Amino acid sequence: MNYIMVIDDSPTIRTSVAFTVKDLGCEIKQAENGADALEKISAIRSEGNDVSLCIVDVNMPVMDGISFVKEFKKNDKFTPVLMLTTESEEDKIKEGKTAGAAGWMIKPFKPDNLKSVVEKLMV
Amino acid sequence: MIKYRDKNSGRNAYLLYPGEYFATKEDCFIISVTGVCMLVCLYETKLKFGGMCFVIVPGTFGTENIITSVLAGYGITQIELLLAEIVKAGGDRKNLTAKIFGAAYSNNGRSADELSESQIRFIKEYFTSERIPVLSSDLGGSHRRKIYFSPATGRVYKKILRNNNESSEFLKMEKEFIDDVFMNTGSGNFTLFERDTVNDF
Amino acid sequence: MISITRNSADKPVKIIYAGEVFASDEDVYVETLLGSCIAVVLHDSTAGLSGMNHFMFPGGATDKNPRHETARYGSDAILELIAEMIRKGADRNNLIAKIFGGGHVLKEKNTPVMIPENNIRLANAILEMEDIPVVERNVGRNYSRKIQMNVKTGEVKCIMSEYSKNDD
Repeated sequence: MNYIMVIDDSPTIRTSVAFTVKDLGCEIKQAENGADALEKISAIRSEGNDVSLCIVDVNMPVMDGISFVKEFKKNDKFTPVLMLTTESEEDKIKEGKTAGAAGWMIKPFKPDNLKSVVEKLMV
Repeated sequence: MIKYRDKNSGRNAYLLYPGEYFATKEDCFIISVTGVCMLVCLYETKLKFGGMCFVIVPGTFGTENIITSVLAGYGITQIELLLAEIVKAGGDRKNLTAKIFGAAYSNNGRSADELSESQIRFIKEYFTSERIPVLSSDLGGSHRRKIYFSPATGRVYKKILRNNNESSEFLKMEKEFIDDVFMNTGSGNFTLFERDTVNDF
Repeated sequence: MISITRNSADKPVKIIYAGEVFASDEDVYVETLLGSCIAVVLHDSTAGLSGMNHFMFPGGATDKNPRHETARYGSDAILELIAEMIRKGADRNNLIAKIFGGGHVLKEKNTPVMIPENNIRLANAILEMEDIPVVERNVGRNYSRKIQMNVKTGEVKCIMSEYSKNDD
């Protein structure tokens, strides 16, 4: 089974993102920060399942989104990570790209946009 | 945002204009006036600091809930911008409490009342969904409220404004803010990074 | 502030300049010249008191902007004027306000056009926040203004002249 990880410290945003991408053929797993996500991803993989995509907020407590991408990309060069954030500064976006993110989307997201970007990234 | 010295307390005061948000660890006052928009004051109870932001959902969202409403997404994002500042300063939304003010009727007839009701429904659903306790709220009515927020203690002082109804600069700025949110061009923008696939392998 | 006698005036005249705050119950006229600057006039008719400031910038004084120049900055200048009126015996609930200036008359090409507009906005916002009714506004457009306030009555004469390059 394949999962989409939705990582955001806001339960509202997590639910809203999960609702938007629920029909794309993957299970949805939510995590509330980068560290929580890494734990859940390794649990998913230890059960013989896999992660197809991560949708990640940038500003989160415990482990922020950029640190998450860096950590995640150490062991997994392939699985795309989409940043979904209120941050729109050029420097921050570059930081995300350097860390290994596949894309950057600025909140508030339009459901159709998010869906089509996710579909594109998962091909 | 305008910074000045508050004469009564001797502390710095930060006056927010509609659409602005600000979080700080300084012992100061964050001040503004709200009419049809809402002012949300968030307080980090463990680290003892906080911030304030303007929130408006630019329209009514009928029977949809805030998870599915695109309009509500704009309101959520305005609070998210403040939350991001609080998180960057080390805060955690699990430690937050909220106080909310505003969402007054303007005197533009029935649709304005619906707008006010829509704001109130939005903000209540949002904080329930976020599991952030709302310690006090003063919403609706038809008056402008002046809000003094002490981010160091989480206390709020409020005053109902009586004068300058016809020529209110804050209502004018709120209208500009709402128009801006409507026109919102930056939102939902996205970039897909081109990757050097050889390096990736 | 300087005091002058003017033959055409029936009372002594005081002139205030940018950065100054004045409040009094003396029987005099107070004048100032405004380009892009703003003057806020406050009056308490019961106490027969009036006050005027003259500020240049829309912000408040910050660490970069020295504290001793605070009255050049709008928010401090207006709050200082209110405080000065109360010190001189005004009742804050009796105060009414008038706003003048904010003309688009800046000579320097690289000076932001927004400064007079921001000054007007700030004056409106601070007076609204302090809940003082603004009963008169003569602001904006490409006029410089000379205002003369009668301290006892709070009446203000505003003489507008279209901006020409010889003006300040």
